[in-house]
Amino acid sequence: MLTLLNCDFYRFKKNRSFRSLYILISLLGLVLVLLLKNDIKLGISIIGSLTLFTSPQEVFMAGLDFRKGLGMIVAIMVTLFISEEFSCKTMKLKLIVKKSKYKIYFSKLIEAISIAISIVLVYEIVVIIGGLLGFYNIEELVNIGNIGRLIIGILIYASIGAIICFINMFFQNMFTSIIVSLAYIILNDTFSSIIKIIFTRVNMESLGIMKLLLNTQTNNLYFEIKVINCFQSFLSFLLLTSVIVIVGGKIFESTDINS
Amino acid sequence: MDNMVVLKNISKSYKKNVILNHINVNIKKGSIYGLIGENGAGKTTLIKVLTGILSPDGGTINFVEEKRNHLPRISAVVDEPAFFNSLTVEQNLIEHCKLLGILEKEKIAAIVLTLGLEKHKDKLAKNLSLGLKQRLAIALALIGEPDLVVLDEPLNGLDPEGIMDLRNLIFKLHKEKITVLVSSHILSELEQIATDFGILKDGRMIKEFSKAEIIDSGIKLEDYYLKIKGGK
Repeated sequence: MLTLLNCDFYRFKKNRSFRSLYILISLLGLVLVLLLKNDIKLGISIIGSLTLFTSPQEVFMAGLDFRKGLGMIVAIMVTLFISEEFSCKTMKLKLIVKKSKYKIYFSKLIEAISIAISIVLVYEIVVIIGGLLGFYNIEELVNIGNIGRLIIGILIYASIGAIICFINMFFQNMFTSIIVSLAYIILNDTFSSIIKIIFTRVNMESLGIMKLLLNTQTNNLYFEIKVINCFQSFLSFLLLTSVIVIVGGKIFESTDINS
Repeated sequence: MDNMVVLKNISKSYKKNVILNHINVNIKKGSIYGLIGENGAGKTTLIKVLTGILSPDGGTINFVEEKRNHLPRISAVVDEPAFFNSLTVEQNLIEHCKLLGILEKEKIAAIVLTLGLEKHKDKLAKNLSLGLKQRLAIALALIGEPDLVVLDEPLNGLDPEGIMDLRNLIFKLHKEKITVLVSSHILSELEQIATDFGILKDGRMIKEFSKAEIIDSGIKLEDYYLKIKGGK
């Protein structure tokens, strides 16, 4: 397993496109911090809702809750990374050296989650550094609620990474995976709400588990965050990842790879 | 000579098409096994099953060494050459070494030299010519010092010089007691390098024979193949 992670992270590190995407994310954070410094108010409308970056809190939240923005970058980056194995037919090299399909799947999941978390962290670190450099009053951000929001935000992106990994390993095709992944990012809220409504209507006993499963997908970070919310998000992430590992791993194991 | 790999009753189907039909193959340790068959005979599928890329629907694959608690290292170039287009030649080799859990820069330098890739080691793999891509794939296959090397149509895309280099490389592997399986359409080339042969037809292994058998028959491999296959 370690050798699988080792060689994949080496490839990730050497890929120029990925480095460019990290620079893009850093620039996004930097621009928003500079706008704050110069008291320039910027509004961005993405698919209906208007986002106004008028305070440090909003810039901080943009990274955690702007799932249709950074989420798309996560979808693109994870898809490019995983699907390269299928488009370059390199998955077979791993099978030839007797790496089990289950280990390959699990390593991809770890990598997808790591990429997703790193994307949100890069953005947030740039924003925090901006505050430490005096571009805005960092004290406005320092509170327990924001630590909780950061933890839940990271878990949200980790879940997105896990789902995008599942999509990629299921379709084994870059074009299809990118379309389905972006559709998932765009329609995620609608999809989660529909599932919630269905399960509420039929009053299923598993509603509690379903609620937990969808927790990281539908979390609202704008309300007061308590320790219990972080705990629920963590449980939700664990449950979702377990389902993805078991179901996705079984599917990947039982299908012939696109070689 | 001991067997390196024994495949027994291997079957594989896609949807309802039978690609491999209860195939038996014996590959001797240290031999160069030439796999012959027309397009669609099942050569690539058999190689994919042997190398673990595909799981067979039935049958068993026994590596004789396995019994002695040593799992033989297999490497293969199957179908299209496989490597990462976004990495350079050298980076591809490093990446593969990391996968194998070995990282010896001298080994990378040696394989680059052996396969004539030294001038191209800093080029992105996607920018290589077809022949160089094939060489890179072979370099990736050989870097782990395998016990069994499987080459599926390795002559495709190689120029005459490349074919000669590959032939010499296979002879070198043979001298080092490494078992090689080569599939090819170019029977004249296969006749020069292989020590044992297997003919596949419609998903069945119709005959396995040694080079001595061809010599005894007094005819060329091409004619021998047509005679067994029942062609013109």
